[in-house]
Amino acid sequence: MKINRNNYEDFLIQKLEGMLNTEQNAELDLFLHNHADIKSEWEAFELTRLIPDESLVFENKGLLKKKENAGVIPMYRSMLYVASIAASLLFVLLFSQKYLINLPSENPVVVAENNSLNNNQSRVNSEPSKVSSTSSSNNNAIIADNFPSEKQAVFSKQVSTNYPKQFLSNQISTTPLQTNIQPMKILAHTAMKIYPRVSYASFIWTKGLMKPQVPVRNTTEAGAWLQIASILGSEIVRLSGRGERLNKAPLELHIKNNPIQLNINNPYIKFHKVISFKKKNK
Amino acid sequence: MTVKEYNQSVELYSDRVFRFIYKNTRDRDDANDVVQNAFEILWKNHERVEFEKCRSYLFTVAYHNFIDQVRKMKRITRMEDHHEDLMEAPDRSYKGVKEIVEQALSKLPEVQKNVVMLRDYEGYDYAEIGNITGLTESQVKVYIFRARQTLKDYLVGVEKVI
Repeated sequence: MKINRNNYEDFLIQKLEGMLNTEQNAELDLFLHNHADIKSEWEAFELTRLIPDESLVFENKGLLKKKENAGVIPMYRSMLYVASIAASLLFVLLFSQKYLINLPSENPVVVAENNSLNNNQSRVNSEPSKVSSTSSSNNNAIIADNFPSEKQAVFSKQVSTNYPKQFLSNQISTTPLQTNIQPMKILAHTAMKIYPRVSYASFIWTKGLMKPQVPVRNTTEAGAWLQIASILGSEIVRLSGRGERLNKAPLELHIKNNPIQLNINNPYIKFHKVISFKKKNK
Repeated sequence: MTVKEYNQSVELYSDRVFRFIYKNTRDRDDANDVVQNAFEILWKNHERVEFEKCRSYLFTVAYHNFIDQVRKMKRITRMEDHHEDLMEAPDRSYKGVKEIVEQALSKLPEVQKNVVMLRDYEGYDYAEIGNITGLTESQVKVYIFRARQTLKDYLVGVEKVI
């Protein structure tokens, strides 16, 4: 198309937009050279090219940035809530099984001989190998044998500093449920070793939800069920991909007789729970 | 996009998005809100958004957020009305060329102003501007041509600046 006084503006804008080829550019330059009045319009068009005002800056960049060594766990409370519900369902289902199927109440299994909490802790801390040797006939032996000694030592140290004694307790009194509890108890301990914080958080959460009437310090039937429920909760959290994050989160545990206060707190994970234990009958 | 890349995008693009929105809203707080919202959305989706595409992503989110705000406030003015205002009431007090261009820009219809800013500030081509604004490539071209024409007329008209 030939450039003329009727269509030159379109060509000027195309030139500004870099849409003209070499030939068209040359033709337009010649047209402008021959029409001095239109040349001033081209200069006006050139001024319509906007230049950003560098003095305008967003001042809160710090608020937008994220810590590079941490991830986000959106809706983590919801995940725990779901885990708790699932754990509670398992709890109900297993109890239903007990009363509906009427499992045999004979053949009790003694899990641990020592009922003293202090002894239990010292056994975990200092004599992991003794556990397997002295109780080789029970299921705890399986756990001890399957768990590498170096990891066990690390775990023992971690657990002794981070977790309340009653949660480490192995003892379960002889009850009709023992035959069911044992396999789950193995899982409970395994889960504790692999995902201690996840298990513990689930344990605390679930326990709070179910409000057990039995003192957990005795780790009786209810205590074992709570552990079972905690495994399910921790597995859900783990499978959701959040377990590792939770395990890395700073954990504060305050135990002052009663209640227990748990804080898992970092910029992306916030978990707080206060649990009151029923006083042990003396 | 990694967390590091996300933080890099904050450094690289937060000022640009802010500038783009501020030119529209003329309100720092509104512009801050839009920028924060855009980066929040980017962060939520950072694992799915590639670093190379995060600039367009941010501008798209910010643009639509801004448009939503404008719609809520019912501030959208019909293009024709705007154009008439622009032609009828040029500010004839003395200003530098830059101020006059800014003045003319502020009087353009929203859509023309946005496409021309994306073109000049960010150097996007018509297709990219179309993706951000939801317009077709040819619509973008028409709006840019109209905006340039209007800006030029304003510059020539005001006290014969040129």
